Amino acid sequence: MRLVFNRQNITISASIAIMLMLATIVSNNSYAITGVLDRSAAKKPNLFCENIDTETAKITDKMTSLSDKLTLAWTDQDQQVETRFQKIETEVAAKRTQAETNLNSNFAKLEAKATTDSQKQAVQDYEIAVRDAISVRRTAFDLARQTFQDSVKEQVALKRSTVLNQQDAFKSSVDSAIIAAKASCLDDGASTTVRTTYQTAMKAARDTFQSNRTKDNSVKNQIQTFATTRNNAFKSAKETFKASLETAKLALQQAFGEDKASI
Amino acid sequence: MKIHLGDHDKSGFSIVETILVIAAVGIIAGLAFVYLTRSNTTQSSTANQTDNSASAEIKTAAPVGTTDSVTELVVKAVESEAEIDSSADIQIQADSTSADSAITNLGGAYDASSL
Repeated sequence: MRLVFNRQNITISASIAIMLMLATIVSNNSYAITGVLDRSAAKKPNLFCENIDTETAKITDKMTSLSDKLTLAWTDQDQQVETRFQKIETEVAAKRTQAETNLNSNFAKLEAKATTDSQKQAVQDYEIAVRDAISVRRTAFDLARQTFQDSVKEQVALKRSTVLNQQDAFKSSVDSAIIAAKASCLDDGASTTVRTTYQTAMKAARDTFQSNRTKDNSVKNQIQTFATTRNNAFKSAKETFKASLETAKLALQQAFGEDKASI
Repeated sequence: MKIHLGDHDKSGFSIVETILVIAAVGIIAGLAFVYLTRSNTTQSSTANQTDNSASAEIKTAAPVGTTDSVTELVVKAVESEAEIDSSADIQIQADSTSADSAITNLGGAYDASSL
């Protein structure tokens, strides 16, 4: 290999060397400038990331507070429902006591009308038949009423379970959004998308919860269905009761024979 | 002959005149009170007698068909008992949904647009 140091070759080599040097200088300066900018951004995170701990703590506190209020509302609700059922029991008991007094009064009148032994026995049989019919009717009513009340309580409990599940899902979504936002802020405090991503996730969590709540309005309708079932049971028991009364009455009239008009 | 009234010619009423007027008003009011009280008592008594007559009619009517009375009585008792239950249904529905606002409020923990 033979090197030829002529003027043209030296000029080209010098030019290449100068270009390489310039390129090196420019690229070094460029990195230096970029580095300064990056360090500047790291030192000044956006306001969202600066306040994220405070703001998310407010949200979780608020959610806890609302959850506590719901628990209290449910406790009040239990008392209201129980008081309502108790009131029904008390009123029914009072009605039955009053009916018993009136019934005894009428039975006494019937006993006064029975003059013969057979008539007296017929009156006794009538009284027993009426009391049996009343007992059967009351038992049927009590059962229908208890079934209704149990169904209402079950429906309320079912709704609470559904709400608790929805609440857990809501909280979980919110927690995930908060964790993701905090991680993004740690990763890049100057990110312009972290806030919008967080807002979108939080909105989705809330919308899902509210949408599920809107769909769940079944308790009122269910209670109406339970009431219809109970009323049908009442109606059936009443018809059976009336038939039993009629049978007892006919037997008594038969025993009184010609005197039946007096009873 | 003239009677000199002296100081009595001054305008206004004397104490004696005032007392006499008050006494007269009191007597009239007392008489009115006694009259009204007797009148009310008489009306009340008449009303009671009417009620008693009505009750007596019901009571005397019952023995004519005592078994019918028994049937009517116990059937009415059944109906009024059923009425107790059905009249409470709306309240029970309201009780069962009384916590709904607290449930809905759960979603109001934050406003997504202002986060």
